[in-house]
Amino acid sequence: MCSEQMKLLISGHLDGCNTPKQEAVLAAHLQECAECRRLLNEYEAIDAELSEMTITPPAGFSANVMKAISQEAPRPQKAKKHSFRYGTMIAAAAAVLILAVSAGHIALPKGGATAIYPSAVDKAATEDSAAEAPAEATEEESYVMADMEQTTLETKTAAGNASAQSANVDCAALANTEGRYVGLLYADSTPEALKHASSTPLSGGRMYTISQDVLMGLKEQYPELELYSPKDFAPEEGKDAYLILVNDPA
Amino acid sequence: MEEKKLIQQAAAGDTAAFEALVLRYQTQVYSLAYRMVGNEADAQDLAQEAFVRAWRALDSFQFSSQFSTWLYRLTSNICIDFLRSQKKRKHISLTVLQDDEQQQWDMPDHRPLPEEQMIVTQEREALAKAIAALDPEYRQVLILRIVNDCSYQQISEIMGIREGTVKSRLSRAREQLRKKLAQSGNFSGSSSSNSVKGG
Repeated sequence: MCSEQMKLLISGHLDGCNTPKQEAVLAAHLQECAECRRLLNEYEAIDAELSEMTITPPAGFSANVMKAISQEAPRPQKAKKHSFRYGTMIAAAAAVLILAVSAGHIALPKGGATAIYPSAVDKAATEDSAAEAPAEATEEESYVMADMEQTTLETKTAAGNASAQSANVDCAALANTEGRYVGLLYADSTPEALKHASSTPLSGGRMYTISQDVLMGLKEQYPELELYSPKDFAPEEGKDAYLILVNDPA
Repeated sequence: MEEKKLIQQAAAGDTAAFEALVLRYQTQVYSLAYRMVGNEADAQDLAQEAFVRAWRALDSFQFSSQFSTWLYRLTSNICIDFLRSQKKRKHISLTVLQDDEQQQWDMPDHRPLPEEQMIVTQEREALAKAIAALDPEYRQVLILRIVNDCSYQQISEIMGIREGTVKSRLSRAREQLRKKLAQSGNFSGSSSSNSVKGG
């Protein structure tokens, strides 16, 4: 029976993604193991068949797509609506962290709340129209702050320790707003778990699209991180969760 | 024309530029949808939906990832949503053991059309059936890697998992596919000739 480790190396070999050391280990093993040689041949045969399985769309496919596009509303209206919600979510995320800070549950490292809030909200103001952003953001903040009260209370015990942490403790807060999870992370550098998550740059930070796996990876790889998230954190497919990394302003 | 320029023009509302992008990616998007859901009618609808959503959201594309990665991610999510919605109406439940944890997965209703059966080889048909019977996560990772030729980094971004997880998931996916082909008598299993056989 071939070991899982060897299967992993055989698969990595086919993808050209093994390290030189892994390739050397695999080559030495293949010299001795007929079963793994057969496995390699079988995987190769399957890969070869799979690689030829692209399918040409039926005639008229692109025309149907363009017909559907032509029935879409004009783009400028769509863009305005989208960017507004985007900005609102960022403002909501800022409110979440500020609530936790003002309630004394989180001790922010260097800079404190005033250092964080402007960069996040600046971006919201950039994305939104100047006239709409302040009023809507305030309304959203109220909503989120009310919603977050329960979350912060639930994590109060754990959070109580945070205020006693040293000034270098990194922290994050995540909330569920309008069915989407959004939150802020304060850290001096990008945690490893986020390095492969898709992201977009913001002024003074970066917004990551995260899954539950990424969040768990974040907790696992970043043990010093004080993380406050709803207990039911489980982003739905098609509804992304966002985490905004606020870089050290210093 | 350079892809970035096409994307920028399409984002500004230029439908001709977007059509050029559709023509450039339609085979990959359609193949991904087809292999995920296992039939032509649904694949057409889902691939079209992917392009329509791409059109709607194109102005939010920031070039922080490759356009293909972004597009495949959209397509994958649409297909997975579809497979989940199908679960509520009609589904074949399949229980598998993975990582010491029992999980429920859905198998799509595989309904190749008669004319397709005539033009695809028996090997391809057997392989297509085996792919359709894979766990959705394994099916997705294999299709993205081998059919769509995505890198580990792209798959990592599309599926929201780490590259190390991509590697281990691909290994498990290959093994699961090999076993399914062997179990259905569609794999020679010999060391000298290891072609996929028709069922």
